[in-house]
Amino acid sequence: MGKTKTGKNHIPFRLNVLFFAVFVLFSLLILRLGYIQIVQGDEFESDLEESTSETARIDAPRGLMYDRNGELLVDNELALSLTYTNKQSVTTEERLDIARRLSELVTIETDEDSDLDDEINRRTKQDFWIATHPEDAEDLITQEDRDEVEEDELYELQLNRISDEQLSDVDDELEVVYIWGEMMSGYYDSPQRIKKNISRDEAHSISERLDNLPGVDILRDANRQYIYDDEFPDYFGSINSIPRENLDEYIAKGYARSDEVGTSFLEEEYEAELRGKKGEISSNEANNGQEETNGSRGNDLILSIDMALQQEVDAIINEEIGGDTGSFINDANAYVVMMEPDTGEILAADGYTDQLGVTSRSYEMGSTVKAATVMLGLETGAVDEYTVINDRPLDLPSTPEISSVSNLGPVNYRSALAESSNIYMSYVAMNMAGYQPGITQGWNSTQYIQAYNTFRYYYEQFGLGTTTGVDLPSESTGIDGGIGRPGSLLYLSFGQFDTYTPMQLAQYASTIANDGYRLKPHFVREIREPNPDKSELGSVLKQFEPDVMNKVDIDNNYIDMVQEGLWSAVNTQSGTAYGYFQGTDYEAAGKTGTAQVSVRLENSDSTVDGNNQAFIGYAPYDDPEVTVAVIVPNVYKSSDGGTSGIANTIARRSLDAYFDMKEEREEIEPQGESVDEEE
Amino acid sequence: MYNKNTASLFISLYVLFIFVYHFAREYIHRLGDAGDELVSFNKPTTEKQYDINMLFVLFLFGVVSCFYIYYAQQMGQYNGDFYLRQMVFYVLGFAVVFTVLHFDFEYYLNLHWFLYGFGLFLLVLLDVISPHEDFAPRQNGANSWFKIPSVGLVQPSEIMRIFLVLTLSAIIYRHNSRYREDRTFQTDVLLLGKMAAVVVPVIGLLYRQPDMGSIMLIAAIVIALLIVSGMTYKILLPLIGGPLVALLTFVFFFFRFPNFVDKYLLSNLKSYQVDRINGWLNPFEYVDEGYQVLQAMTAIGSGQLYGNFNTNIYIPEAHTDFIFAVVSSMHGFLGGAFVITLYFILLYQILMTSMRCHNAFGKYLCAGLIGMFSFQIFQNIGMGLGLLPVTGFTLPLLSYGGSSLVATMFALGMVMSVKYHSKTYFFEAQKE
Repeated sequence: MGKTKTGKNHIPFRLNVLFFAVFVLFSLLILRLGYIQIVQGDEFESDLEESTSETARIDAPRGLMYDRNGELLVDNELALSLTYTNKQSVTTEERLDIARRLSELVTIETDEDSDLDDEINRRTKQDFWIATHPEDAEDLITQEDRDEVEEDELYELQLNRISDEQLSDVDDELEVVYIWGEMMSGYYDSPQRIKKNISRDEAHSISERLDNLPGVDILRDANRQYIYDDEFPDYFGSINSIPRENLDEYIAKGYARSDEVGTSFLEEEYEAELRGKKGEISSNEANNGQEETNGSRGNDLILSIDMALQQEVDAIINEEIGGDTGSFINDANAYVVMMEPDTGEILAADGYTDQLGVTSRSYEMGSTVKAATVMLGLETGAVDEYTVINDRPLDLPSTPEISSVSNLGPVNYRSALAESSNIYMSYVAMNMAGYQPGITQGWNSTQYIQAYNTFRYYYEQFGLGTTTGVDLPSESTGIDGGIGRPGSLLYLSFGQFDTYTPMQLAQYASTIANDGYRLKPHFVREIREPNPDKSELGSVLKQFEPDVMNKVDIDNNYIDMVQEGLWSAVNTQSGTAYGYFQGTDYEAAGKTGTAQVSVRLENSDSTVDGNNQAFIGYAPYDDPEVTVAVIVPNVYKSSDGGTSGIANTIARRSLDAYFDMKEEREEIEPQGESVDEEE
Repeated sequence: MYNKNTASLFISLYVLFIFVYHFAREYIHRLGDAGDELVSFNKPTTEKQYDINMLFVLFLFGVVSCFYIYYAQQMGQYNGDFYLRQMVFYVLGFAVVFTVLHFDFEYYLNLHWFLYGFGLFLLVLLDVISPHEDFAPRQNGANSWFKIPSVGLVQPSEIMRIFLVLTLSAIIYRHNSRYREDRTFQTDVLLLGKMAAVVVPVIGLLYRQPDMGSIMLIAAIVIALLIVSGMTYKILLPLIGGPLVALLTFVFFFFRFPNFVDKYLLSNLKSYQVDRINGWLNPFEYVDEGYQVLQAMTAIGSGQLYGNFNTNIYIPEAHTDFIFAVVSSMHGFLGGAFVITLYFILLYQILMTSMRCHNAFGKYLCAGLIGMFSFQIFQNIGMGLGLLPVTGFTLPLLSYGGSSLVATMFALGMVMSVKYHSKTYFFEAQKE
């Protein structure tokens, strides 16, 4: 192209360049379109199916819970919820308008001891104030701020500059503020519950006006009814909106954002079973009709809990503790766990005030752990069948003097358990660490560290200091004191070093009763299909078989020997539990425990010496069908006015209750446990 | 539902058929007249012709637009008979086309300063009175609209961009006539300066709204005109290539070194801008920011090859900004490609008008409009496909909306005026 010609002739060429660029851009569009629709089309198609069928689902109620005898524990009742679906396109004024109108149609109730003002947080009020006073809010920021601060921070500035006086403007329409706050707190395009459980009248007056309240709807919800709220309140858990941090996970499982899910304990653990199967309304059918498939209730859980026994145990604890709270250094507490040793089914799990402590609190369990100590002593050869130790105070260098409750004189494995000898246990520990008092000069560090590990290796096989595998979302494993000073090894041997949970203690007792087989404790024994008639059980979907976690690594002879020791503790005159178990119809075995603890007084820096009272036991001795573990922590020493033996009494009465109840049931239904075996 | 589906497929195939038939006929006609072509072009003629082809394409757009707006409404987002109103707008639009095309485009050479001044006045007025509840409400975080009683929202930048094309074309035309024989680097720089003087105040006002989309659109217009103006590549290449390379580098870095980008680049932007970038480049992770894109992509993707008529997905602004998502969701790749092709044909027709016009002003005018339309189309469709960030552009001719349609028709009327009023001379035709 000659230079002189460019003036005239450049245009067609340049136009072609321009058009070529356009061509490239459009080709890009077509290629991209093809990629999305043809290459990725299937993916989007399935995404779409998920998301659209979701919107057309009818909520289905959650499964129910029954106790082992078919007693209904957790029920649903129909409740109506007022919901609001927020959309990005709705203006602030429209939302305010809806909030105002809703406030006239529903009343917002609060707990008795708080008023609406406490329920609404300050931030909501501030937001509301800005939404209702846009001009005043503008005045709060100067042009200078506008220039300096970024747009989203401006809003923060406004929030902070609202004076209390200004904020009190909104106090005369707190209900509106509350409703508005709830309306704003949901996700866009997904219904948010503003008020659960609205009354019939409210529902009527709202549904008449639904046309004028865009985004507002009334949803059929199932309200959870926990029938035995007082006796077994906590382990059922609770249901709530999906926690934001887990939202993706739930949505991936097909939940809608507005769904409610189990958020703690059994409700959470068995969410997958309890969750209702939603009905679907499909409006895409060729005949233009709406097809509605009915949803069904989620599967029902049959708990292993015997609610009658649970109630009885609760009454026993209340009687024993409630009249004697003065014995406790701080708040009174006591935990009881009863389970079936050969299945791991939990029959009752209770606490005085805080039931959940059964799996979340841990205590030094004192002499109850001696059964394990004797077994591991025998197994490792630290002691044998014929070993006799003279029980008298043991004074070791740099270790406090150790003694049993009284000087017991010569004891063997059996009397050491029956009479609860701390000295025998100390010898087990010292022998394992290769230390002979008065002979060896010092502790061999390799050996005593190894002894610590050996102790815990065996303890854990019984469930002490490790997860029990109970069917809850979480549990504590107690506090492992680590490798302490050599002398502390002795304390570990009689249960005054590491701490264990009541659930661990129960598993430990069951493992002994069960000849060394450690079973997973569980609250749920069966999952059944929902039955429309709530008083009848549906057919069994899944039965939880006894789940053996391990067989303890100890010779059966030694287990038998220790069982004899536990029998002696209850049934021989010198046994520590003898006095508590006289006149029983059944033959029990057990072990008492008293751990000396120093407890810090509440609201004070001073500490007080006290005892943790504990008891493990099982019955009948020959063929154990129930084990019991009791811990009554932080009781004053009897010299300081504390009652001793509370744990033993509770254990005795709980076992009595179990056998009485069994007898009663057999009288009514002579054919045996018909309810349980019904199929 | 089944019948509706086949019916709509049939209609669209039929429209496609008419369209193919029309062009095939013209092609055959051309072949048949091949021998006579020289004659027909050599004829010195002042006979004025409507651009029938373009009118036909516009008619097709009208049908397609009302059709999809009707179906977008079936998604139940808004109430109101949008498709009926769109028909009215189209009638109005054609009236505008016929009015404008009878107005000789060369008069704009005298008028453009007045029009430019008028547009600028509107923008300044908007800047002064907004935000104002009654006349200039703030929408989607920008002050870009006048609210005129009984007309609705009007965006002055929509008409301003056309006035800008006129003004820039006129400037280039005068400049090139003056320096026709002695074009140098210096004169090119001078031209660039003149254009900048016109563009900068407009961009400044748009920035205050803020309306980034319109600013980018004006950039596209300027680039198109710069290319056609014959500006030397020494200026063109860095001017166009620079930002392009920068953008591509940014996108590359965004995916390859996200930490670096977060730390050094995104931290300097306003948070809503960061949100938009994230929503654009990463719609699957930034669900809230990329919500619109994700919905649109899902709708489009699920259309697959043939489309899915039963789709019931919530597409935001389905009948306006995201009308293309409705098209390609309902009629799949075929529908989407058809619409894109239709646009391409329209642009091709503008290009041919530009080519055949013997007045350089007319050529520039058309080129500027090509730049404007192609960017607008590319931007709107591209954002639905996740290629470009979301900005509030309508899809010209298809989206619902009176002011946007009338403005578009006004521009196309000018193109037809270029064709209608350009004279064909014997000696020039020979050159072709």
